[in-house]
Amino acid sequence: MNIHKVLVAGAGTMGQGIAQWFAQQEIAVELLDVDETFAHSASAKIYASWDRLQERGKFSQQQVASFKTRLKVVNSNTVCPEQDLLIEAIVENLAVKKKFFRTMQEKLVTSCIFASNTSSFPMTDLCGDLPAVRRAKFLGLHFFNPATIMKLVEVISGQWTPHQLAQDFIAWFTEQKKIPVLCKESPGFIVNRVARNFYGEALQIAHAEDREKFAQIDRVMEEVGGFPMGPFRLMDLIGIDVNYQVTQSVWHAFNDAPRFAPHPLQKTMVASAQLGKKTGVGFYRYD
Amino acid sequence: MTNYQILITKDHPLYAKIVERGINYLNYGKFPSAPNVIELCLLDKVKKRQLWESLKDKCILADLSCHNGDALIEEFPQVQGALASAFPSPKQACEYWSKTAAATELLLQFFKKCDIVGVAVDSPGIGFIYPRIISMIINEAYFAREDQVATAQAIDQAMRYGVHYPAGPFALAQKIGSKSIVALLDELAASTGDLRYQVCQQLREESLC
Repeated sequence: MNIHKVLVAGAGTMGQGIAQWFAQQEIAVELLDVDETFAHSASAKIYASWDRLQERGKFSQQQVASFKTRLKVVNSNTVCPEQDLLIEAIVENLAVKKKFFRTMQEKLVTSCIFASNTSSFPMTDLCGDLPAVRRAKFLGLHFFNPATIMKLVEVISGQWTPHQLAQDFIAWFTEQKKIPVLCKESPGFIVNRVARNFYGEALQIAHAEDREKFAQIDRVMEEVGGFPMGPFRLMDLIGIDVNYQVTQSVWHAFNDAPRFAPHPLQKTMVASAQLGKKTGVGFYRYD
Repeated sequence: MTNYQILITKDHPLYAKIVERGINYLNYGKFPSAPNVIELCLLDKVKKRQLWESLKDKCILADLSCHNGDALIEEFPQVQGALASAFPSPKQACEYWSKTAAATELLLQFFKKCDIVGVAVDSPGIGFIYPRIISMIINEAYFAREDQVATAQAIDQAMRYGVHYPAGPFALAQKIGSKSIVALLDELAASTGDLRYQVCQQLREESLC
């Protein structure tokens, strides 16, 4: 598999990380966002990150100079049509994503592989409007935050994804020292599905707003379970609203199966704007 | 000299360690003579009750990893402490609860002999904390494999490298044993009546082998 030019769409946290990682693989990256100023600001953050990594001795001056030449901010008029891979990491909204892929289908060469970094939508739904030639080059590539550090990539096959295409990405990511895993399109794929009850069952045990109990559960999961962070501390870090939204999305996708049902406490916390670290209060207080 | 005896079934995950370290123990079925008994028997609720009834004059510190500990402790006041040792920890630690300082002392002595760190909790609840959360994660991993989302190996890798789990759910299931996981999920279902504790068919079948 030859990947020399990648278009990353969406300059948010994930898009930024993905663009940075690809540039670090000596691949030419174009970064596109609906807001070009935002894309420039993301590019500046990536540059600053490389400078810090150079100071710490992680990369040489030459390497960083090379990475910087490979990252370019573009807008919808200046996108180069000759791309090997498009990775979409825009807002998590099915209609917006579908519209974006329809637009890109007009702009990019037919040999370009289309991929989505969605954490929730089936590939089959995302590419359903595209011509057959595009659907046969469509798959999910789900990175984890921060994309430059986290090794896992979920390689997701949709209804029309050829087995060989997914296998080629497995081999390619392995060569680049990532840990790719092949999975079928299904709500939450692997991680966001299997991890649901790390939070859900912890909430069942705590039952009500009780900071001592949250601390006890976190302590047990860290000291006995060996998890780097307990469920309540982690929810506070992720954002209780974000976690609640993912839980709801997976729950509904499984036809409201009881084992995925959100806990009433999540709803209460979100309604009272206790969203975790970002609001200074969540399951814990951050004064 | 210790003033407790260990009563254990051979299928308990600590059995091999206890034998290997030369710690004195009695196999399930024997009657302990010491006044305090650390009971590590993987038994269903009926057999557990029968065992405790036969130990009426003893102070019992019981493994309640797979049981509604809160309910059983209320029913059997001679149970002075409980532990969750049927779910081996990747960090060689174990949750415990005790009613008295003497029970705490006995449990900590036992943990020291087994080279385990005790982590105190305020009640055993139903299956303590770690067993309960890890069983639900493992159950979902089995559901995902049953749905052919990915292989067991891919699921284990995804959870280790995507969210830094100390081990994959299938690897953990192998260490714990599907029998204990299913026993706890069934106990949660029976005690709460909540359908969220429905066991994946493949996991249940594995527990019957």
